[in-house]
Amino acid sequence: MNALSFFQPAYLWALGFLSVILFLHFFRRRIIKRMDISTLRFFPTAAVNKSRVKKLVDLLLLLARLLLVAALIFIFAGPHDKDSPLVGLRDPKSVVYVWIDPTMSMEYIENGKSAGQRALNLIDSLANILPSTVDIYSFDHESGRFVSIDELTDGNEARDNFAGRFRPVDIEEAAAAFINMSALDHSAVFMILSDFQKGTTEAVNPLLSKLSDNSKNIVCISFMPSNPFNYSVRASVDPTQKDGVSAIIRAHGAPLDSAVVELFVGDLRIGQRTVSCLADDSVTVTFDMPPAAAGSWGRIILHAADPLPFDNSDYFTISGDARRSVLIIGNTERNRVIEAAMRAAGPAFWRPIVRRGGSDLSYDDLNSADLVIVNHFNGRSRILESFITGAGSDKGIIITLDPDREDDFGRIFLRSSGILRGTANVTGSEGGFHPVLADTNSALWRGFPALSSRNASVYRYINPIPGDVLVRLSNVRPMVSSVNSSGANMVIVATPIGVTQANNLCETGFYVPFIDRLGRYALSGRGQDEEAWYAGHVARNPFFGVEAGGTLFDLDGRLIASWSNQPFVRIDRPGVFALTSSLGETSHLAVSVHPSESEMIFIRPDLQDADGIYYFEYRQFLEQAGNLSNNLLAYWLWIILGLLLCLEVFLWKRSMSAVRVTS
Amino acid sequence: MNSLSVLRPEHMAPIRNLTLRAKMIVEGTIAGLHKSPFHGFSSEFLEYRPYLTGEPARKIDWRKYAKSDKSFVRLYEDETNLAAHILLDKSASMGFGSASMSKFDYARTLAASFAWILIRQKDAVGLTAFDEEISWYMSPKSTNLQLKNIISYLETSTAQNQTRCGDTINSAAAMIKKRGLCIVISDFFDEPEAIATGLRHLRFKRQDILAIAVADPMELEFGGKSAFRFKDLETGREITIDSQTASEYFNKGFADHHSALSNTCRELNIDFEVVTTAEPFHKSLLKIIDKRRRLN
Repeated sequence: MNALSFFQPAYLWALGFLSVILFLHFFRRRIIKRMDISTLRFFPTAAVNKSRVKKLVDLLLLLARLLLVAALIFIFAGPHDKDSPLVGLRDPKSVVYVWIDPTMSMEYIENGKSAGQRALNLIDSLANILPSTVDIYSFDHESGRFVSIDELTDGNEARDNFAGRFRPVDIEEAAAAFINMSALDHSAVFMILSDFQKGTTEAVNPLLSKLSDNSKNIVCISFMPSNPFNYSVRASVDPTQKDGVSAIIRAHGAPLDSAVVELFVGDLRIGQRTVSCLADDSVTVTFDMPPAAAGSWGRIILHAADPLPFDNSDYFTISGDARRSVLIIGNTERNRVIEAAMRAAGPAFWRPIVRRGGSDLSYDDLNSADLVIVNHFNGRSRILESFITGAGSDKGIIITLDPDREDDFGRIFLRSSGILRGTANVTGSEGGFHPVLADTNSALWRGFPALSSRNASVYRYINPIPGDVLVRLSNVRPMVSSVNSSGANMVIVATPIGVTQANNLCETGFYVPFIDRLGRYALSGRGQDEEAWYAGHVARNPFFGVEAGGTLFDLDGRLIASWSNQPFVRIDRPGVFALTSSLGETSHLAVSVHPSESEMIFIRPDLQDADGIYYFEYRQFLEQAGNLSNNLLAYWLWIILGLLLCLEVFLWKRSMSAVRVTS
Repeated sequence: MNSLSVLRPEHMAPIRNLTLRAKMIVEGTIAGLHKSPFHGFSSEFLEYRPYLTGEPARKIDWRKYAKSDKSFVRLYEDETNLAAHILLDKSASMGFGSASMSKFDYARTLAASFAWILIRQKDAVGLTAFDEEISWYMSPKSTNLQLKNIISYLETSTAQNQTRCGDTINSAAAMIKKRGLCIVISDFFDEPEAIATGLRHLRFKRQDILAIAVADPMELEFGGKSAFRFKDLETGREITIDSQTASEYFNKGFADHHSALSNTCRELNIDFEVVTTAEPFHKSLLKIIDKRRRLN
């Protein structure tokens, strides 16, 4: 205890009672009765010595009583370390905002209880420990706001049960809500209850300095396991089904010895393997797959006893209905033909196809699309530009250049970003040039009907365009090229591909396969594997931008969610779910545990030596918070009190033993 | 008020005249008795007569029986002419008194009462007063003048000097020539072994002994709440001791001492009686007399 202070210093006046005890003791002892007695023969030297010892015992008894009373008074006065951050919690006006880490790793079971459950219990304990005037709010991950724990009544699942409500780390959202709610409240305390797994800590660290700058008190309470270990399994499915299904088993923190891995397709058990794995290593076992219908589902189960059981199963679907969403930006009327061509080329693959004029463009539109085609779009769009430059490798982008418009987005953007040099100009001829493919053997043009189409003519185009040439004109000028510049991966077409005066592509048989191949090429190698669904993590709504909705059921037929056209959706639990669209189509979604949750990497948050940021282990916090409850001091004061009571009883018995002998 | 209640020590204490005290006690106590409590100790043998069936077996002369194989009873010439010695402790410890009367005051009243009773039934009474040595000796006589002299001495004597109870009883025994009764009144605050030696000597002199231990009520149940500074009445030595330790040691020591005395007396076939200065005199006397009757 660095600096002692008292919650109820008025109780210290009671120390005055010590003087009463002292007075009574010495006043009583001061009276010595003089008496003539018939004989001293019954008082041997031992009696006199014993009397002296008793006098000493009486003094010790007095001291014990003084300390006993003093300890009691100290307990009621409530001494505490005034530098402790928890003292602030006892301020009747303080408001406590609690964020509980909603990630799956909080399901880690230690001593029979999960970290999440212990976090919920801690909130209950806080309600009992802190003064009744202190308001406690808990962050509701669903609504994104803080809710008074009084509203979480008994029987509420949110209060009583942590399991199965996984979310991504939304502490940024919680911190924003906290700052809003406690803008003028300096006694507000933000509590972060987490196991501080790597991902969580990485999200928390930048917020700590931000909150500290706002003069807020932050208390981090760690539920970090003492000896973390975990086993996980992940399924890897070959879409062609030629290589069967692979199960990747990882052992984090402890070796795995002779565990059984099972493969199920639907409810049918297909195979079983016994695996062993060294600590912090992984092994892969492969199961042969029987022919399975596209859209069917399966799961792999690892039978191993570990504290985090949710990642001992992984789910997968047999791909067959892979589809890609397309966003066409530009003149919606002129671009209607692109949509028609893609529908004609692959009605099941290219869907949904959304057209946007450009002015009503949003990030959600861009994020939800796999392939973005910019055609006949005039003017500039900051959203689109920033999207293209920051899209990374997971989006397919096709940009066409309009030789008839100086304000064409493609030309302006490519020039401003330095991709299109100043030498590029509008070029053309009355007769036009027909497109010529490089070959029909490469992955791009394999199986294309012809190397060139003389029916198709390009009258005006931008020349030259940079990048690797994919299609040339009959005059050998590049018509389509692939560019990778400053993080932007895109396909550039030197002429528009919608309804235009610059070419007649859309009027020929060349057009549909040409658009389909360009789209597929733009997506190839862009990480456009089938989208993975992770429990608690948002994913793009497959119904976003289309005139349809869907309903999500679990395999037992229970309704899980209804999705309309919101950009993002989330499934809280791992498993296999059936998604039925309003058009009557049904597909399965396999939802897995995010791989980062299985890694047992815990990092203590960086407190940055900032004032107002405190870190406690779970038990340490309960211990210190408990010591603050009801104005009572730490357990050691009670121990001292108990010892003094024992001493008091011992000395008193010793003092009274003489009386009992004679009686 | 019961007529005997006036014999309580607190009522008798204001009566300084010991003659009057003794007379009141004896007449109040002994008046109703039809037979003398002290008899059967005469040493003048008359003759034998055959034992008659139904008589107490203790009357049989076992020596005669051993020689002749016949049961006889010894007859004495005179059963009432008793020579009694009263041995009174007048050491300083007897001067202790927490109640209305000191142990010595109580003891000399008892002594006067016994003398009165014995003289009244024509027995000879003598008085031996002692502290660390014999300070007064009167051989037994059965005259009224003897009674007057005894009471006169008792009235003027005071408790002083240290106790050497055992030695002085031993010395007194040496002075006794004739078989008789010996009444020892003391607090017996001496070594039990020394006292036993003295009493054994008295028994050797064929004395029927009545040992009366006079105790103050506080000595029987010592207690107190404050610390004590004790001064020994005999030696003047002082000690300071807390009440609990004092109670523990004094009560245990006193009980052990009396237990040792009691055992010694039982071995020597001596009547041993403890009286407290809070007890009414008639009760003390009746207690002693009744006990003797039962024994006889």
